Amino acid sequence: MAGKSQRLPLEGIRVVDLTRVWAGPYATRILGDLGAEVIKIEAPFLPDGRTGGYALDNEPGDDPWESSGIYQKNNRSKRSLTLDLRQPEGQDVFKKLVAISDVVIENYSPRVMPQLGLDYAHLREVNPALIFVSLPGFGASGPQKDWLAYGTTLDSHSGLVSLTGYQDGPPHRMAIAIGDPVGGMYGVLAVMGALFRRRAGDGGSHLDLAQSEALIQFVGPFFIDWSMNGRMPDRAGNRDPDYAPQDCFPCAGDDEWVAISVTSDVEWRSLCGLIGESALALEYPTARDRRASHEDVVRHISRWTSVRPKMDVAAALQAVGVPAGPVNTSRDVVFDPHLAVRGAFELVSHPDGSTRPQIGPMAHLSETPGRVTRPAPRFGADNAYVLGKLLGLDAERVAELEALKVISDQPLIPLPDRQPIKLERWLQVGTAVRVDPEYRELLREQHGATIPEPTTSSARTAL
Amino acid sequence: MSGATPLSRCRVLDVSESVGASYCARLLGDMGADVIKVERPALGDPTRRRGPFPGGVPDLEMSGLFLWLNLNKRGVTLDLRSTAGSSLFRSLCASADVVVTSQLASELEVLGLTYDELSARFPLLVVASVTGFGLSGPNAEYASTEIIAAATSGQLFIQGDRGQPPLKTAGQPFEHAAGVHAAIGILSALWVRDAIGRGQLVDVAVQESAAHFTQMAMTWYTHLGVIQGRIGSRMPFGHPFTILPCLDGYVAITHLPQSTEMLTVLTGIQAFSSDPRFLDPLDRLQHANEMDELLMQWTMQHTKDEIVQQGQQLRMAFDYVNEIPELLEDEQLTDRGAFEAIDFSGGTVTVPRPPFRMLAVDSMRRAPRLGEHNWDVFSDLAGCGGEELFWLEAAGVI
Repeated sequence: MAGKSQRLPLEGIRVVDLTRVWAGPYATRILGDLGAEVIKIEAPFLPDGRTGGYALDNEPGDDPWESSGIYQKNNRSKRSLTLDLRQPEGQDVFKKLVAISDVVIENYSPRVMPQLGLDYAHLREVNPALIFVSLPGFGASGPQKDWLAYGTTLDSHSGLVSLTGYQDGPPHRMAIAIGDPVGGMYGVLAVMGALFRRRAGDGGSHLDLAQSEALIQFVGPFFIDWSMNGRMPDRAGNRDPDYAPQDCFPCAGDDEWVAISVTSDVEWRSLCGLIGESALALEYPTARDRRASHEDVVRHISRWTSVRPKMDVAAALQAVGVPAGPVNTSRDVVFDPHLAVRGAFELVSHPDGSTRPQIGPMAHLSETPGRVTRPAPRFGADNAYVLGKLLGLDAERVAELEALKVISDQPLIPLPDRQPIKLERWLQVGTAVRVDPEYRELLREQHGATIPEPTTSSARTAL
Repeated sequence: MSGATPLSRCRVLDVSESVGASYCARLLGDMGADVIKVERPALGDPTRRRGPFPGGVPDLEMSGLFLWLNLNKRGVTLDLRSTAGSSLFRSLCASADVVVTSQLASELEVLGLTYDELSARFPLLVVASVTGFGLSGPNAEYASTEIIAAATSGQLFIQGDRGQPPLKTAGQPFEHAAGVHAAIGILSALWVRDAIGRGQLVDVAVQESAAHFTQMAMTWYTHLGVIQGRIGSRMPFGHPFTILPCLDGYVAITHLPQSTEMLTVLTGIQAFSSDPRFLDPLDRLQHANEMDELLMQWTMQHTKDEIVQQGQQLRMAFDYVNEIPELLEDEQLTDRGAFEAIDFSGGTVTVPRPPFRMLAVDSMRRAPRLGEHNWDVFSDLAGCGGEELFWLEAAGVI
């Protein structure tokens, strides 16, 4: 765009990325979007989640490890190097790369890097200015350091799950494992903080950042409530202790909702005026009244919302200053006109040559905006770049490494035969509420996506 | 770990009045920046009116939410709408690196705090904005709270039970997430400031921050045309990946592999290795109710400690569904020093320390009382004399 620099804020920072699955890859994706050169390392025998989830347009294709949608979203803005860190030749390459890098980031169990002899104590010898960030589930010390954790189990561990749920119902799991991206984003803060400290002359450092300790930040105020009052608030559905009413209200159509959150008596009176219920405003003038009679308040508002489209309801409420928003499906978000005007999406290409919109960097910077610098790399796509250009190994040496299976441009393990997702099963169990047969056409029209006609019609015949 | 905090040479003016923006500024304070919270005289930041309060009694100096969001900050009051206040704010800007705002574009205009205005006079300033929908676009002026961001990001729709209304996550997770995103944006802008010779605007929308978290649901649509639905406490990929009751609470039962033979080893229940309904993850999800009934025959005979310990010993990612007091006694968290006690007007409270402790201030400073540092800040940074400050206070500017 005119006036904006092509420069990216973290240009010149090189990150060696050993992370897998979501938390760590989300951290390095942010660093990549900000312009750091992220080199993702996978072992030839241990590809990272490349066969998980679903394939683009439900067509696994000839190289199924290149088609995972989850892998593609988590690993954009990175380069790929394959390297077997168990072999001395792999360790040698790794140390050479670390010597010319700024950051190493890993989210293995705390046993792994010391066992490989590649922990901070060893790597500091090849690069004293190195910033080494570990993102384990529970941290590198303590009695539970070797426990297994996933994002979802961290959600449970952090207290969020016990606090969330319908009124009088059991604890409720998060639909998205937020423990993963939360751990990742604090990992980025740690990297940035360490970069500033190094710039001030303090040298390198090892940062041990437990994902479990990242997520408990998100329940901070509940710790304070406990200290003050010795109480855990009851699970309260969509209600809020300060804002009343706050809830999801049904709108016209099937499973259509609007969220409304009244933060003041002024807003409440505006809402009542809008829906033609002035008596209600007088009956429940304060938040305390409205909280006490939540069901009645909801009944009155629902009568008005339930015959109107959610987008209209939200716009009408916002027009009179009441916080409201449509409960968007993923499809609504992808085609949200507001996000489109903000340029929140970027088209990212995939190995088959097609492009799809992805949500862009997490902040809009006016002078050095980040961007998706490259699509997720194919397995070992940058072996030649890293080994030849960055490390100066000659072709003969690269061929030796390949013969030793230290590097590879395809996974060296048998991968499960990849079948298209049976979408009718997803509909049956409720994972999918609908499958939109027009999604390709709409993505072309609304986002200008390049999408070739499908070679098979698996997505539709599966239905 | 020793060493200076990363931002000890950085000054931040925080004029924000929302959870996300205040938390963003606090993170910079956690890393050692001198963060000055600027509040309206007498009224203060509206989050001072939100709980928790000791005994549930509202008091501007006792809000637990305000305390949490404003640790590691100093505090001044300043009426930015007055000419004198506005000019005093500009004197502070001269020594600041960052300004953090939460006001909508139209309010920033009124306050004279738009990026264009500030950067014209202070080109090195990094100005951050955290709002529900961002500073641009047709919905920029929309009011927002946590649930509105969750709704418009696509997160709310997929959380909850099938056939029931969508269900919000407790607290303000996406406001906090936007705060972290904005802090990363600010650090990026400060990092590149010398190289480009100027500051910049960092514009964060809570809707987009939440959408980052929901991106998998979006790729289901862009890659498959699938619109994700709500399936309760279960996971779309297979079963068991859920929350179950046990003898003394709830546990997170998580088992990812294709086969569930290990569950037979754990529970002694044969069906997990032989029942054709449980052969693959999707079959198990379809028959999740039947599977949960069997699992509960086992979980209801055991305590959460027994279940989690036995699962972890078999390398299964079982975990507690912790409540707050359990976390405060969690041996892993306490062993690692994850908490700190803080004294403030409302008593002593225990809060989690920043997870990047090795980069954080050694001990956390309680949130400022309203206008607590007026004299220090305005005399040191704006060169105001005692008489002038007295006059400003009398006029209600500070």
